[in-house]
Amino acid sequence: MGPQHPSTHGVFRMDVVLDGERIVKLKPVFGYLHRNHEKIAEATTYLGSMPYTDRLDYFCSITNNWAYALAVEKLAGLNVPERAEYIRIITAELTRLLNHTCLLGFLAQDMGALGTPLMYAFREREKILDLFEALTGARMMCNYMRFGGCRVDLPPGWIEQAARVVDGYPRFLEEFERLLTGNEILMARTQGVGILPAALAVNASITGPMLRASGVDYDLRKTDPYGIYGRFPFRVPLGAQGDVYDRLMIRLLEMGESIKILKQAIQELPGGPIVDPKAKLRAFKPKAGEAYGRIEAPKGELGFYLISDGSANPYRYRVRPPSLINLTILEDMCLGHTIADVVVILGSVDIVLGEVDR
Amino acid sequence: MIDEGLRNELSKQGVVVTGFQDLYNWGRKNSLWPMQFGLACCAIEMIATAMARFDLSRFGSEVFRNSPRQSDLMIVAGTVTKKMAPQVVRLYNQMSEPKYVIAMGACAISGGPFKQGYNVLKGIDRFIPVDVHIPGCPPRPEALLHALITLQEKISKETFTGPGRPRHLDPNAPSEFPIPVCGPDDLTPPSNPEVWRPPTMVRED
Ligand code: SF4
Repeated sequence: MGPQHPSTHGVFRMDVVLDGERIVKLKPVFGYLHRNHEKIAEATTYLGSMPYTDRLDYFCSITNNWAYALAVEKLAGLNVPERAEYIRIITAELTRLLNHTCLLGFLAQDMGALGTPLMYAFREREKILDLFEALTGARMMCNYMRFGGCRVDLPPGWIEQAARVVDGYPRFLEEFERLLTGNEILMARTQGVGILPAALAVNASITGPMLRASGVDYDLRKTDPYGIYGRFPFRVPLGAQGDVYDRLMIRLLEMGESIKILKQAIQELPGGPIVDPKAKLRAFKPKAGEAYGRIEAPKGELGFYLISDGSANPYRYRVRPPSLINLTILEDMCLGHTIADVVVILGSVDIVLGEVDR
Repeated sequence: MIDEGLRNELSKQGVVVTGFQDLYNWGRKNSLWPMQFGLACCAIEMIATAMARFDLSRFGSEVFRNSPRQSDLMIVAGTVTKKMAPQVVRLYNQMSEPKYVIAMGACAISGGPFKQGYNVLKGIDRFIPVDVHIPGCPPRPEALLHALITLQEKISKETFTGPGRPRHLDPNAPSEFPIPVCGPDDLTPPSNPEVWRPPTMVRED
């Protein structure tokens, strides 16, 4: 299957051995979108690779920025002002809403619901993209974070508009839930399909909603809080079975939690500077050393590992992409299911090929 | 050729007089069927173009087909790597004539931000003929709509005969292009000289 197939979500191939309709063997083939991200970053300055991080997981450019900025801030010992921390959380949680919304739309599409759910999802996406566009000037490739803060301050009226979008979101979630969850076809296609046991998930270092759907309580926002996540009360929803249905529901529930965080952050947003005055953008040369910055990206743990030798560009630059690692156990989830289920199981993993192949 | 005044007079009465060529082009340009085929980030904006806000259906192109056999417009949306390039050319070959190509985004045009990478093809126009290029990274959905309108204008000006006729009306012109293979260190051939003829700069001194 692939590399050009409407349900592989990009250029991805699976070598599948079938017995009738059942999967006997499945080997994922990567590399059709390998774009040398890591090597290009080692050849450019620290700031120069910021726009490339946008293009890793192109649904969530802002969280990618954050993970990279976090790694560099650790390396160079920069502090982030209060206001910037709040703005970071607001934009990152909006990104999470965006990612989960689109994923659910695509997943429904994979199950054969052509059009309607995806139309709904993209309608909501546009609302969030309007916010991003007003803030950063770009719809998808926001390139918003900077070392020690953010690039620009919020434009006038932005926060009110964001509050309106966030307030309207629960209605969309309800609507979407009504559209999908009681649906018989959806139940039949998702329940008991692609079960991922908790032990296997932990051993394969799966992270993110996929791990939590298997019932493992692990969310970096709680276990290794970065930024100021410690200040916001929210729950980490957990699944029981680890099947496709759980993965779908986890994302719906997680969006509800994001809305809680967003409401509180929007209300408490303080004034002040948005970037550490110590942070230099040009001729930025951190001391020799190494750092690993990681965040709970919408897809799982996104980490950047940097080694500096004191020059203007990183000596070694490595990304820990959640999509790639979540994809490694695809075979275990698919064995014994039919070829039509593979499409749904792959959809529920939530991959973005830009991040898988880098 | 019908007299212009008479044609105007008739159109006031609700009678349209036109030539077969115009009718043919009009039908063709308003029923393009793009292939559902995305490569990278740009593909998301391509999907967004088909969704509620931008609504590609207004231009008669909402039928995204999954099979190249059923489509006549290839939107190359995203980075073409050298591993993927043979597949892209193969898909293009499988499309039925008359067929058109829109190269969407900096990557499809030139390799874009990843140009320095060893594995990224520096533009899909090295292997297949591109009708419209859209700059941007990623281009906005409006840009894709504009490209579509540009392509429609191009189609409406096509003639049946003469040296300027489109490829599909020329029995000697190819409708398939050679598929490159992954050689030891690059695609072989690295470009198709039939398709890709970059201008040579003539210096004045
Ligand atoms: S042009 Fe930009 S947005 Fe489009 S595929 Fe290339 S990097 Fe992605």
